[in-house]
Amino acid sequence: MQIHELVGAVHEAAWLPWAVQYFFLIGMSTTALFLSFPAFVLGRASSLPHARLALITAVTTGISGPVALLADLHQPGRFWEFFVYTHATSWMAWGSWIVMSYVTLLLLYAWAVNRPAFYRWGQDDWRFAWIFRFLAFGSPANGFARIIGIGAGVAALGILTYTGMEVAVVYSRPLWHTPLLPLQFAATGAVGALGVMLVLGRLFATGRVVEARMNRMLALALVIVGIIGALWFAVALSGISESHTEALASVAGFTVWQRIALWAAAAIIIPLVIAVVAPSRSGWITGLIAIHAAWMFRWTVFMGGQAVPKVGSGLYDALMPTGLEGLMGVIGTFGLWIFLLILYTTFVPWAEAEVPDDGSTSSAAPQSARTV
Amino acid sequence: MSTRRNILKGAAAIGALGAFAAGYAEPVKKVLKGKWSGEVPRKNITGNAPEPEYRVAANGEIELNPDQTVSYAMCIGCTTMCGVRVRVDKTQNKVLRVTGNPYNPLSTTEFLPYETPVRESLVALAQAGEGNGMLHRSTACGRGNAVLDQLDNPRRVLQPLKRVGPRGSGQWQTISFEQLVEEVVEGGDLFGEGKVAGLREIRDLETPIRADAPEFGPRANGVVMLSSVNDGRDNMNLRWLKQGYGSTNYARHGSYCGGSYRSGSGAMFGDVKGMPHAKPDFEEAEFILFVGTAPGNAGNPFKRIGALVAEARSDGKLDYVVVDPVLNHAQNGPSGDRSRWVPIIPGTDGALAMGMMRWMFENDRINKAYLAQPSKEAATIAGEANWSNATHLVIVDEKSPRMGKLLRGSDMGLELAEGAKSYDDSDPYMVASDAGPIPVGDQPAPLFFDGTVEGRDGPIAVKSALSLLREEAERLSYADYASACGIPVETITNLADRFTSHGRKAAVNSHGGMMSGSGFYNAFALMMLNTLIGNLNWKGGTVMLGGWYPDTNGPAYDLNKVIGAVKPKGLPLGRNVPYEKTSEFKAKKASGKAFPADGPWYPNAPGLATEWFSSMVNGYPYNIEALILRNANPIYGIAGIEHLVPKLKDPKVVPLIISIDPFINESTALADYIVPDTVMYESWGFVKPWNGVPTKVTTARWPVVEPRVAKTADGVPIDVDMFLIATAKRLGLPGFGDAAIPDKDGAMHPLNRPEDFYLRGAVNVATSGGSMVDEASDDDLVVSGVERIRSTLEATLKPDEWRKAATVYAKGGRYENKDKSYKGDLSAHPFGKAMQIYNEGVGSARNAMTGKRSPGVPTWREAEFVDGSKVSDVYPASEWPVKVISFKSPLQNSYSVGAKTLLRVVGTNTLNIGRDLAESQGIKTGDKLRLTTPGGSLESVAVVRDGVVPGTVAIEHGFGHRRFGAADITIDGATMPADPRQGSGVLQNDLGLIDPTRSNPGVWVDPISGASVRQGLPAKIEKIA
Repeated sequence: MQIHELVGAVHEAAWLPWAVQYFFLIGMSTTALFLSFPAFVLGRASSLPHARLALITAVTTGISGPVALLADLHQPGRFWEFFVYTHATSWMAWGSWIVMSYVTLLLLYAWAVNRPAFYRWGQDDWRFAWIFRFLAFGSPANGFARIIGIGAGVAALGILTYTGMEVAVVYSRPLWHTPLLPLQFAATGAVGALGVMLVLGRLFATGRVVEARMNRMLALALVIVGIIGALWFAVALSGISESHTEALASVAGFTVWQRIALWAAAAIIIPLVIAVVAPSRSGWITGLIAIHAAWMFRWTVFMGGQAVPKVGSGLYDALMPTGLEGLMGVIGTFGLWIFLLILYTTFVPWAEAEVPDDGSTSSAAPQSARTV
Repeated sequence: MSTRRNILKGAAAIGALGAFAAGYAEPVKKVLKGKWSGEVPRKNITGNAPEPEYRVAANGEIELNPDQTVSYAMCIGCTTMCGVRVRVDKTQNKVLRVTGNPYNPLSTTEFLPYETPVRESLVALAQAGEGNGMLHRSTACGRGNAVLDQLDNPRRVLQPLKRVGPRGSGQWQTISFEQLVEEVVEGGDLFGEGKVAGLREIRDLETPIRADAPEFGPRANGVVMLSSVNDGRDNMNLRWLKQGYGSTNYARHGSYCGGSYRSGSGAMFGDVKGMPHAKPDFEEAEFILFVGTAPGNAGNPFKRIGALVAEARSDGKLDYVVVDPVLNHAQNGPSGDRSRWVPIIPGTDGALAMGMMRWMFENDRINKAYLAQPSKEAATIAGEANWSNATHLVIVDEKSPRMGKLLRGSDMGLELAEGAKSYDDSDPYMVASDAGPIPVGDQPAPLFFDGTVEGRDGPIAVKSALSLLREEAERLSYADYASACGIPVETITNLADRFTSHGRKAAVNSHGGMMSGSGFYNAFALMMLNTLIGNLNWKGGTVMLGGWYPDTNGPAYDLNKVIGAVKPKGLPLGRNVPYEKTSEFKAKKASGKAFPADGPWYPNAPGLATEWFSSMVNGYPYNIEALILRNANPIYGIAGIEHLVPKLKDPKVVPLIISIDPFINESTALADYIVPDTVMYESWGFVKPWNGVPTKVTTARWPVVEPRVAKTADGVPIDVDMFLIATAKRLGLPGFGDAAIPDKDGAMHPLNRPEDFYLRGAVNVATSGGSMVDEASDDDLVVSGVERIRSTLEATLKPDEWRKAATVYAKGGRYENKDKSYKGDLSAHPFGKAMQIYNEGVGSARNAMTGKRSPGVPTWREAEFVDGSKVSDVYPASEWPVKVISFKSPLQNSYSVGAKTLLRVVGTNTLNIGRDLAESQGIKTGDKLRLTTPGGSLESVAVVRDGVVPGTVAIEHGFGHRRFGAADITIDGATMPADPRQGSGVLQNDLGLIDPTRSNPGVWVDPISGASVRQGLPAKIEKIA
């Protein structure tokens, strides 16, 4: 039996490349936040080097992600309508509140973690000291950072849940409509976050020990991604979950999707092998592959997923549905993120962030080491 | 911290910020536009959807929308010309939507009684009763819905255009209507290429067009007009060309459309010029065999047929079989065995029909009671609805000068009636009897006879027509027929069995699939199956059109009459007359070798546009001076004509080409002048369906919107009618001007504008058929939008006429009520002439090239070229193993490509290839192929599918355009660039053959019908990279 589609209709992609960027950035932000917890919430000083990098990652992606989300609204100026008109049954409507809470708590947390250093920089005698005096708000105390961090963590769990669910509930797209999708977003988000941290580690020369440790964490995250992926295939092939079977069936027959599957497997195995074999000298390569893997996963899910027609046979041929305009969204978002990275790493004394002082410990105040 | 690092960081930051700014420019722009990034729709929920045209309140009252109208008019999206309802935005002068007219049988199965007031028709469409919303559902087809785009097509010709530079260069200048009329009438050095004779000079009714051959008539025959299809305005064309101008050369597109089918049918109906055809009674038939046509796929009236067949196979009593090289959507899976597809080798339908016929003769399954009636009187006494010449005797004596003619009373030396001449209508046909041949009477006659009779001038060998047919059917074995058509013997005999198991409630139907090299005889044979079971005029059998209410000669006006009309003389350009009438024949005969002629002649064909082009480029039988194309596109439509186009581009071959067309199609592109024309809902006209409706139907078209074309200096929209009227008046042709149209009292009325003609036609429609329509009320006028033309109606017509004419427009035509379809078991509008088992004209004519006769009864003949050589010998299967066919698209036609909505739905075509051919050649779906015939080559993409007969490539018609929007159009120096989508796909006619046996080039045509051959072209196929 062969089906010939005689009549078809052209569909505009509803989810634009902006959405890919948002899911990519916010996934990294939330997972990076958790990677900052060992030092800044649990107080393990030994985790400080990579926790600092995690915080840079969390904050920069946490700002640029929602900006991309704004642009994905076909009329960004109407974002406020999410807050005026609520829809209790919509994950996306809940998400608008969660995103707002998350970004607020994330920034407060980052501020709190860095407050002592702000204070110190404000005490120095230099041109921009007044800014840091202002940022420090008159005190170096930051014992409350932990509780804010926990609050941000709760919001981050909310983000991971809602971003996963708002896609997974789309019944008409079998590829999206799988309960494993939220977990895949979270796990690949962690891969991306660790990738960014590895690259930052190389850029700021945090040393081989830190790099090796982050590569091992990356390896762990990749193993988790691989396990979920294998589970996805196993469930789909076993037939116990109809939606998984349908999801696989909707794409399995297409050469392009078979290649995507191979690509995904390579994106897991190659960095995994490198991270395990040469954890202390491979930050650039494992980091960049990891970032690419997290991005590619989302691009495939959103753009590739929309290329599978809801009705009919074949695929819509354009994986880049909106042409140059769509590409500009990707470029623009990366531009903002890199800009924020430069801004943050230049003007925030991130390297001086210490375990928050809740009064239970007393340590000698470190010296200011301004980078500007 | 080093400065260098800071500079690097700064640069990177600026770059990143720049990328950010560039990427977010668009969202920022959207933000700046305020609440809405795009256009603000009018309504929150329905957006920009127009307000409903009317609302039906709970109590059934209609509330009209004052800004819109629903008018009943006519679609010309294809040749069916359905009655449709057109929703118009009055404020924008724009057609919003097109659906069906519930009074019109072509759009509605349960069409409304004609007396239903217009307002109530709107209620009926909404909900005819509780739970009955579908009862009077009236629809347009997919194409009909979409082609309203053509009104606003940006490439429409709105001003008269004159070519700049050489023919076909795509460069035009606009000219005024008045300049157009002056130049084409007066001629002169119009293009800087030397003098061009104008219509005035060519209209010489005295000087022969060829000094050496007066039989071709006067020089005026050098103006020839090709119209595509009668869209209700042919009468004006004919009035102008024949009665006014005095040329005999008028033709329509039939010879490159379905001509062979119509000719084959016409041979059986005894009229090879008018070519009548019947259609199955789809509502009552129990078994229909469709061969070379698909119910509901295309053809007139395809929408009605599609609906009726779908209903009949689901809820009714119809089983049917579609025999075609390609499986189309006529087969319906859910209907199970009720619809079946039987694949057939292209162009071999005659073998199937003759095989079935053989079985019917051998198994005594012919309707002897019907066939035995030799005359109308006999049929009436026997209770038959029709009769045939099955029993008539045919002279089969090669020694007789009347070889091939039907035996007549005078052949036997019978006394003729007072004043009668031999072989005229009163000279009786003869039938066999125990006492020798006797004139046909009111009694049945013997069906079979083969013997010698003693004639006036000695013994004559004669056979009955049915004997000849039986001989022809039994000439080949079942195995021969089966191997010719590729259908197994048991399937052939099974089809014959099924076909003859329903009494008269069975029918054979055919059409465009007959356009093969054997097309005429194939069609003749298929149609003969109907006659062999005597189904004509019977409920459930085959029926003619119920007739119509004619617009031209009704009780009120005589629009056919032209005072001082010219009677055109001379043999036609298409050579559709006996070769024996020419001086050439006489001269050659005198020199001892009458055959072959310099080119083929087609005495049993109608006007042949296909052959015109061969005539034009060869000057045989004569040269012409002006070609007028009227919405016709032969350069796209005739298979193989591309070979003749270079010559047509030479102004010395045809010095003046005028095209009247709304669009620049492939043929219009070669014109010297283009006259704009109104499109569909902008123009006037009356049509009837081709057939298949048992009641009387006249569909009316009127301008429900203001035409977009430019206007004359007097403010009349420029279209074909106005062009003809204006040129006629300038030429002083009879039948136009202030005293042109006689009414029933002999008073003369003007013909200065199209309305003068058509509104009077509307009065005829309203008052003919022995009854009159009701007068339109003011409410009818308002509801139907006829209010728009009320002042024109009142100004043109008499006070007691205009409201009757208004009714015709308010209801989109005039329709007989459905309960008038039958009288008992018979069609209420029967065909009243004999069926020709033996067609004397066909059987007695000699082929001008070979001097040989062809059978006068149906037969199976392999495709031949004009010199009688078999196509399969000239182009053997060893070299050309594949056959190519085209099939009609249910959506695109030859002139719809500019409708953008349609192009979105169906944007291109492919090479459809059956699985076996694909496997043998290693072809997969998506492969690029080159398809080559002796006539041409094209490249396209393969679609491998089930449902194409082995060894065949099938191409959907309607694509592969080179004009319309497919090429740049430059008008007054401004270029409208081509839209490549409009050039998408391939055109099967590019593969069409030139007949290699013709000394003067001409395309391959069927030897009897003269219709172009596009089915079963010999071809080869190869994969390219």
